[in-house]
Amino acid sequence: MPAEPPAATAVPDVLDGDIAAFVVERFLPGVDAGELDPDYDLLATAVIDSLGILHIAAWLEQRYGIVLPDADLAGRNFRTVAAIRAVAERAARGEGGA
Amino acid sequence: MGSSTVELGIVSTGTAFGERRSVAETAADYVPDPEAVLALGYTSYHRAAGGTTATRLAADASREALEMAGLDIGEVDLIVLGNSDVPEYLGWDPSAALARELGSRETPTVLLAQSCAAWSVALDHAAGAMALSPETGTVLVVLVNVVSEAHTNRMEFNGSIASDGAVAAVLRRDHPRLRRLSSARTTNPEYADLFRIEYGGAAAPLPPQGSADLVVDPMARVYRHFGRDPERFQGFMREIGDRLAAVVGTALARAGRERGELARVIHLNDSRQAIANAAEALGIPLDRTNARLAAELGHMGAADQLVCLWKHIERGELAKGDLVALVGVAAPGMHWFCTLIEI
Repeated sequence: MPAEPPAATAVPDVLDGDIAAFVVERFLPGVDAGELDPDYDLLATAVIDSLGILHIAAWLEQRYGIVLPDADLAGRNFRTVAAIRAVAERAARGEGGA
Repeated sequence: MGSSTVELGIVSTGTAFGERRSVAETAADYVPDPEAVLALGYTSYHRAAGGTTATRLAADASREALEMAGLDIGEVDLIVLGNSDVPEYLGWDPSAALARELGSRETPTVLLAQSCAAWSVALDHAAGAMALSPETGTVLVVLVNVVSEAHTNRMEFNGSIASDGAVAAVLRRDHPRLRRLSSARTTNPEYADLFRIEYGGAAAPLPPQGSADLVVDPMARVYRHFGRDPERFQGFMREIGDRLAAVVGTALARAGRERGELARVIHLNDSRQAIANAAEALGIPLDRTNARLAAELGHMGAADQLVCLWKHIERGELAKGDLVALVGVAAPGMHWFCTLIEI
């Protein structure tokens, strides 16, 4: 009997706006999430530090069920909203940790 | 440890550094995200030229300190070496190699390998040796750090930039300047595995296929230790400051001094934010720390505190009678240290 093809795994849509809302709520109180440019450097401006990385990783897991591999818990993956979305999407596709 | 039962002070200091390099110009050679490294606040660091060993740097610093003190190596009663990075060889004694390099024939040597904590232990060991033996009057304390780039990425070094340098200090019994007044330390062994070098030791002599010490950012192992739980990690960050304040308080009490008397706190050459956190924990302004020097020098392992002490004196930023706290947090360990010096 031929093997059945594996069921397609749903990859959640990770939205810049969603990430921006969390970053603003957690690290930039008083700022409008809509004003946070997806390419704004959160590391260089000290918005995100090592603790912030863990907070965002935990939130991605709670919000989207995405578990980032240990190797992805590096500053470069959390430097901007766009970088956070990219690392989350890679992990959701099973391509994280590269 | 504790208040001195002997009086001793630093007679002279010598330093030797690797080549000075710009962080902005070289970070991309080490990491794919140089902006993240620049955000640590360092402007430069030192890198030993190919073939320049830790023993060579330690010897250069030692010769300068001995020359400044007008001493021959034969007049030194004890050599104490702290080596805070991977030594040139396993199963080898860098302190004996240093003594040989300096032309010593019989001076006893001691090696301290407690990473970035070795400076404080070395000063304590010198004080202890003088207390135990009246014949021990002059001790050469040497701290050296040369990063093994095969084992460690100097730009991903526990949140700092690792730098190559050595400092040597001639300590003499009853010397009235740069007096060591007291010390204190504490260790939390829960963190014994944090920041260890994974491969090369007896437990794992070689990395498994496809892996290496340089593959995973050491911070990822730290996050794993705390179950990637932000609250536990935050507790760890708080503990760093709390324990630092505790050892400083203990050292001050042992010397019969007050925190308000501190003219300067010299922390390990950590990132700008880490030194700011330490200053806040100790309740002193950032401009009375070594933050500016740290940004110029990089983290020279166990050599940081004595290098910066000497640099602050050279720059006229410390005067006779000033009270200085040399402090640090060292991993693996983890250890928290404070040694009080009166200029």
